[in-house]
Amino acid sequence: MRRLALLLSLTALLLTGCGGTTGEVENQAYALVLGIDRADTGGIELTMRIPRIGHPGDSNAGGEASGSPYLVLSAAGEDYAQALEHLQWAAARELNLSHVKLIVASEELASDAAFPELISRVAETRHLYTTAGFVVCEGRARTFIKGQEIILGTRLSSELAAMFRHYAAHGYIPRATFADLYYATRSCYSDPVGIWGFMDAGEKPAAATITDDEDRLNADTLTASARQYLGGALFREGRMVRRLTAGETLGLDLLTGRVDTFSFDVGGETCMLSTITNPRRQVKLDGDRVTVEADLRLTAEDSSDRALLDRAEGELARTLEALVRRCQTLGVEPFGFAERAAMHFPTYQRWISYDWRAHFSTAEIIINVDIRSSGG
Amino acid sequence: MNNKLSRSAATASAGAAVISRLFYGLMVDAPEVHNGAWLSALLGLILSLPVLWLICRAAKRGRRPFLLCALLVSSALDAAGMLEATAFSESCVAFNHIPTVVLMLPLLLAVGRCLWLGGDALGASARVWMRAFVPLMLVVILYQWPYYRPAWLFPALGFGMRGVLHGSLRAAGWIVIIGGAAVLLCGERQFKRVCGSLSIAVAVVGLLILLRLMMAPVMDAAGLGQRTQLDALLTNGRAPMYLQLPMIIIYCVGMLHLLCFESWAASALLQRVIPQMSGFPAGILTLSAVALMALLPSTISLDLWRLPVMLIAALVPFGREAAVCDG
Repeated sequence: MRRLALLLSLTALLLTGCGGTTGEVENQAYALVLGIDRADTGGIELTMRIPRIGHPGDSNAGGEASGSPYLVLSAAGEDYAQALEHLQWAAARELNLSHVKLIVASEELASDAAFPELISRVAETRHLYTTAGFVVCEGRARTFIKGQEIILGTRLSSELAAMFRHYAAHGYIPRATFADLYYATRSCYSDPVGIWGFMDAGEKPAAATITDDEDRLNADTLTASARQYLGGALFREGRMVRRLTAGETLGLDLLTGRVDTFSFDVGGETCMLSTITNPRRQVKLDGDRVTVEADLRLTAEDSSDRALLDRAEGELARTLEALVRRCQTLGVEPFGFAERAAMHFPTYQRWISYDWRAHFSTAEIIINVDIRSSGG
Repeated sequence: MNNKLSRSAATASAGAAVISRLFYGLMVDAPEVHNGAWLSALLGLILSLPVLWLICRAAKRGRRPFLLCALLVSSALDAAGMLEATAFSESCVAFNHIPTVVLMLPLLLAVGRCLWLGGDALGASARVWMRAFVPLMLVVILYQWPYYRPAWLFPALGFGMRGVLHGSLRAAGWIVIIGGAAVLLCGERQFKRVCGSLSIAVAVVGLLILLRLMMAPVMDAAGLGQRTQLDALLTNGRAPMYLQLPMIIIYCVGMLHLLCFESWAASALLQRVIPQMSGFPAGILTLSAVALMALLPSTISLDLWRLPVMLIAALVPFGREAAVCDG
C-alpha cells in the first residue's frame, strides 16, 4: 500500500503539463477559422476567427462589434511564419490551432505560384490538425471570414460542420479537407479539389449559380447567410486552375463516389437519384494508349418511368464525359483514376516517369450509367 | 534486480518489442521504404532466421561471451536510440515546447523501475498490453474504415527494391537483437518456437503497416522527415480527431515497452557477461550508459551493420562450451 502511494506521488510529479495558468481554456485563443491571403505589401496576411469565452458584451473586447461572440483578428508578415508570429502577438493569448474547422484561402493566393509551398508550411504548423475543411473564396479572405454568421446553430464550429456535411451529401460541394489538399499536392496521385466560397452581394439570387447556364433562372432563392458555399476549385500541382460550377462538382462527386442522393434534370423533368454502390473505376494501359472506364449504378427514388430513366442514363453519361474531357484539356485529374493507374507500376520512380497527366489528357473515356427504378 | 526470464515472458515481451521496433523503424524512421515496408518486414524475418538458429545452438552449448557482448552492446545502443525517439515523439504531441532532454527523465524512471522488477514482470505487463492492444486497435480500425484507401498501397515497392532491401537488412538486425537476447536470457533451445513467435509478431507488424499506408499516401522526398511521418501516423487529418487518443496510447505504450525490454535485456546480458556483478550495479550501469548514449549526438547509423555483426558473433566459437545455460 505504501509502495503504491509512493508510486502515485512520484507519478503526480511528472504531470508537468498541468502547471501554471497558461493551459486554462480562458487563457487560450482557439482559432476556429483560419484565412490566408496575399497582403497589400506582397507578403502573407492571416486572419483568424476566435470565440470569446465569456460574456458576448465584454467591454474589453476589440475587433468586431462587442456584441458578437467571435473575434476576428488579422496580421500580415513577409511570409507565413512571420504573419503567424504577428498574429500570436495580436491575439494576446496563447494561440491554439488544434480546433481549426475551416481554412480559407483567397482565389488570388490559391492561383499563385507560391501556393504549393505555402500549403506545406501551413500543414506542418505545430498542432494545426488538418482535418479542417478547405475553402477557396472569392475576394479577400479577411472580408469573407468577417461576414460569416451563425444561421441555425448556436456555435460556429458545429454550424460549419453540419452545413458542409449536408452540402457534401447532396453533391453541392466536394468533400475537401486541408489534409486532402496537402497529401494530394505532395503525392503522385490525383489532383485535389477545394470548396468554392463566395459572398452573396444581393445583386442576383443564389439560384443563378445552381444552374450552369446563368441565364436560366427558375426562381429566386432566399438565403439567410451572406457567405455561400457551392461548387469547387480545381487544383493542379498545388495551384488553383479553375472554378467548378455546381453541376460540375456534382459530376466530380459522382465519379469519386462521394454523393448519396442528388437531383438530376432531364429535359425539364427532375429525377431524384441515389447511388447504390461506389462507382467502379478502371484504367487500362496499352503502351501509350490509356482507356479510362467508370461504371455508375444508381437508383431512382421517385420514378419508375423507364423511358425517362433511359434518357437520364444517356444524359448523365454525356454530362460526366464532358466534365472529364474538360479536365483533360486543363491537364487536371481529380477523379481518382491516377490511383488505379499506379497499380500497374512497381515503383514510385517508374510511375512518376510515366507522366500520368500527359497520358490522361489523351485517354479514351468511357462512362456507363445504369439507373434502376426503386420499385425493382 | 532479477535477470531471469521465463519462456512465456520472453514470448510476450520480445513479441511486443519486435512489433514496436519494426513499425517505428520502417514507418517513422526509414520512410524511404514506404510502400515496400511490409515486404521489408517479411524479408527481414527471413534474413534473421539463420542467425537466430545459430543463437539457439549457442544457447544449447553454454556461455558465448563474444555473442553475449555483441547482443549487450547492440541492445544498449538500440535502447538509447529508442529513448531519444520516444522522447522526440512525445515532444511532437505535447501541448507546450518541452526540451527532449526533460522528456527523457520520466522515461528513465520507468526504465529504472522495470530493471528493478525484472524480466518476468516485463513479460506480465506485455501480456496485459497485448490484451489491451487488440480492442484498442479494433476501435481504431472500425472508425478509420471509411477513410482507408487501398489504392495508396501501390506502387507496391515504394521507392524501389534497393530501399526494400535496406529496410529488410535493418529489420533483420532488429529482430536478431530482440529475439537473440530473449533466446539467450530464457534459454530457449527450440528454434521452431522462436520462429513461430516471431512470425506472429511480424505478421502483426505487416498488418499495421498496411493500415498505416492506406491512411496517408506516399509523398515526395521532402516529406520524409520524422516529424512529418509522425504527423501522418498520429494526426494525419483524415482520421477523426477522437481517434488521436487511442492511437497515441497504442504508439507511446508500445515504444515504452520496447525501451524497457531492450534496457532490461542489456542489463541482464551484462550480468551474464560478468557473473560476479549483481543486479543493482548492472542496472545502474546500463541506465547510465543508455542515458549518456541517448544524449550524445549520433553521426553513424549502425542499423545496416547489426545483422552481419550478429552473424559473426553467433559463429565465432569463443568461450568454452560449459554446462548448458538455463534461463
